[in-house]
Amino acid sequence: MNEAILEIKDLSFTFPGYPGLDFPELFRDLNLKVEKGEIRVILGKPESGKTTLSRIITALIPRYSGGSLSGQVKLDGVEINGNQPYNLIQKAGTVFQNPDEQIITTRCDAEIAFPMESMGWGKKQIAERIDFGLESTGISHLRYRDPATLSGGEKRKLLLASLFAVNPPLWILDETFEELDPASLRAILKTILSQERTIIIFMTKPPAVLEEHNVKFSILYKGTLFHKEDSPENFKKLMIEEGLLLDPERYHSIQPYKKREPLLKIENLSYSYNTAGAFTLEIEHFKLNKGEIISIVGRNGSGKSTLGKILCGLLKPDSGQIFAYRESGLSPLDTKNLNALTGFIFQNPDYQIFLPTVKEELSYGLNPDEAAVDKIIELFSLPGKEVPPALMSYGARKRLQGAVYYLFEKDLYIVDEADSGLSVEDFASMITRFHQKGSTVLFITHNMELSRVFSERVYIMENGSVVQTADEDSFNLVNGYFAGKIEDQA
Amino acid sequence: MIANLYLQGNTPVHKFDPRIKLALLLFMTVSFFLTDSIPVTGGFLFFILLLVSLNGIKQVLRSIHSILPLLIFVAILTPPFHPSGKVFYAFHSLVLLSSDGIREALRLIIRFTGITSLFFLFFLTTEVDDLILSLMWFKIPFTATLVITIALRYIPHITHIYSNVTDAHKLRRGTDFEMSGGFRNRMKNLFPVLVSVLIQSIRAIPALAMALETKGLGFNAQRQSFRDINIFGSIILQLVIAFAIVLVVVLVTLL
Repeated sequence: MNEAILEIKDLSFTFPGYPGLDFPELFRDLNLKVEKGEIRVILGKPESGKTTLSRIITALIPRYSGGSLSGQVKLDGVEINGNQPYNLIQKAGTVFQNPDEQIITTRCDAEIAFPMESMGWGKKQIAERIDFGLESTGISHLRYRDPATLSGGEKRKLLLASLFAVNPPLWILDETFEELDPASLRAILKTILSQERTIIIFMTKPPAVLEEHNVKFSILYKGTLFHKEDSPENFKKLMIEEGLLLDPERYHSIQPYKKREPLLKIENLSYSYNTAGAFTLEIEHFKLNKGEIISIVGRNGSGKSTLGKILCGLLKPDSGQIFAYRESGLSPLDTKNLNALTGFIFQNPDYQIFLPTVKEELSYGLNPDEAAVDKIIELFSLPGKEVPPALMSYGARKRLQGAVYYLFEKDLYIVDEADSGLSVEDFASMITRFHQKGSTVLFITHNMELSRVFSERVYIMENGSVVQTADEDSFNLVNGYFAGKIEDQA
Repeated sequence: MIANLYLQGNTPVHKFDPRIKLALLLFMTVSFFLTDSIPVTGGFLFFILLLVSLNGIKQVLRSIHSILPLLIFVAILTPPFHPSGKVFYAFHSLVLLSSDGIREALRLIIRFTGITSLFFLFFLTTEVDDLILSLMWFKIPFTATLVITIALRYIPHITHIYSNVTDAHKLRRGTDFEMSGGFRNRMKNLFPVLVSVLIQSIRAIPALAMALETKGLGFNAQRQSFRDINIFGSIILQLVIAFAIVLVVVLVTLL
C-alpha cells in the first residue's frame, strides 16, 4: 500500500450561525484517505461543502470563517489543525473556484512567480519554473498579458500553471476543469499525469475525458463521503438523486432539428477588445430561430462569452449589425433594444439579487399579482415568499435569478458558463422552463451531455469566428470537439 | 482582486524608468503647492496634458471628466469666501464673485486637475509590479508596498464590480433602467446597484486574504523577486530629462 498524503479522520464541521439562525452541521464523521499518486474526484451538488472541504485541507477554514471543527486532518504526515495556510504551500497547492478571487498580480508571469518569491527561491530557478508552468498549460503566449484581460478558462490555466511551477505533493482543484474546453482539458490532464501526482478534484459535472484515466470517484452526500469503489451500483443512483447526472429516464431524447421561424441574425459583425494581444471577434453570419435551444461550444478564449454579451447588448460591436425579423421585415437592433429583448443569466446570481425577501425580488419593477408570484415560486421550487435570498443556498439563488428573468418577457435567454456552479438537474429545469414559454435559449458549455441532450443546433467557435454550424448532418464534428480531438489551428 | 488601472502600451512614458517616474510624480505633486502663480501652475498643467496628448493616453482625460462635478463645485463655492479685489457680483452686502475669488477658484481647479492627471498618467503607464519593485528599490518593505498597491487597486476593483452589477441590472430591468435621466430617477436606480456592490466588495476582502496566504504571504523566508525593473534605452538620458524637468520647475517657481 502506498503512503497516504492526506488523511481525514472523523471530520465534523459547522459554520458559525447568526443570531436567530443556526446552520446545520455541514460535515459529520467524514473520512478520506488519499494515497500518493492517486487522482480523487469528489463530486457534490452546489452547497454540498466541496469548497469548504478544500479550504479545510488548506487550513483556510476555520481560520477565515470561524465555526467548530473536530476530527483530524493530516497533510503529508503533518497535523494541519492550528497550522497557517502559508506554511502549507509546499505540501498542498490549490486553485480556487473563482479565479478572479485568487489572482492578485497584474501580469501572468508575476502571478506564477508569486508563491516562489514568497518561499525565497533563486531567480534562475523561478525563471525556469515559470517557463515550465506556461508550457505545461499551453499558455506561453500569455506570459506578459494582464490576467484581467483573459477569458475564464485562460485564468484557470494560469492558476494551474502556478501549481505546475511550484509542484506541491498534493494538488487541490476546486471546479477547475469545468470551464476548460475538452481539448485543453485533455492536453492538461496528459501533462499532469505524465508525472506521478496526487490530485483531489472537486466538481459538479465530471467531463467524459476523465473516464479515460485511472480516477477514483467519491460523492459528498449529506455531510459525508461515499466512495465509488465501495459500491459502484449505488454510486450511480446517488449521483442521479443528487442531480449530478442526467436521469436517463427523464432526459433521453436528442432534440430533433426542426425548421423554425427566424428570430434574429448577425451580419458581418466585428468587435475587438482594447487590450494588446486580445482576439478580435468576427462573425459573418449568425442566426437564431424562434423557440429553439442552441448551444455554443469552442476553445477557451474563442469568443463565446463576447458573442453572448454582444447579443444582449452589453457590448457594442465596432462594426456590423444585428437584425430582428419583424412582420414588417428586418429591423436593426441597438444595444438598448437588445437589453430589452435578451435575458443574460450571469454566473454570479448576487449581481442581480439584492432585496430582502423572495417576494420583493420577484415583484421588483413588475408588480405581478399574488397568484403569479405563488405560481413562479412553485415552478422554480423556491423555498418560500418571505425567505431572504441572501440566506438561501447557491442553487436556490440561481433558481431565483432564473425566476426573475422568467417573469420578464424575453425573446432570448442566454445562459453563459452553464458548466459551473449549477447541478445538471438545476440547469435542465431552468432551460426547460425558458423553452416551454416559447423563448429561444442559447447556452454556452463544454459539457457534451448537456449540448447533446438539450440543443437542437450547435455552433462551434474558434479564434473569434463561428467556424461550423452543426445540425443533424454534422453532429460528428461536434462529437469530435467534445472528444477533445479538434486541434487548435492557431 | 483582478482589476487595475494599467493600460498596456509602448509609449515613451510607458518605457520611462518607474523609479524616476515615481520620484518625478512626487516632485511634481509638491511643486503644484510651491507657488501660487496661476501662469506657472497653469504651465505645469499644460505640460502634463501635452505629454498626455503626445502619447495618446486619452484615459487621463476621462479621469478629468470624472472629477468634473467636483471642479464645478469648487468653482461655485470658492469665490464667496474670497470677497476681496474687484467685485463683479454681490447679493446685498454678500460678495459672491470678485477678482480674488475667481483667481482662488482657478488656482484650486488647476492644482486639482494637475495632480489628478499626474497620478492617472503614472498609474495608466506603470505596471503594478514595476511600482512594487520601485518602492522596494527605495527601501520600503515588501508588505508595505503590497498594502499600498492593493489600496490603490481597490478603486478600480470597485469600479469593476460596479460595471458588472450595472450590466446585470440593465438586463434585468430592460429599457426602463437608465443611469441618466432625472436626478430622482438616477437615485432610485442607483440604490439597488449600490447594495449589490457593497455586498460584493465586502465579500472580496477575506477572499483576497485567503488568496495571499495560499500564495505564501507570511512564509518565513527572505522574499525573492523574479525579475528586475525593465530598463528601456539609456538610463542616463532618462535621468538627464528628469533633471531638466526638475531644474525648469524649480527655476520658474523661484523666479
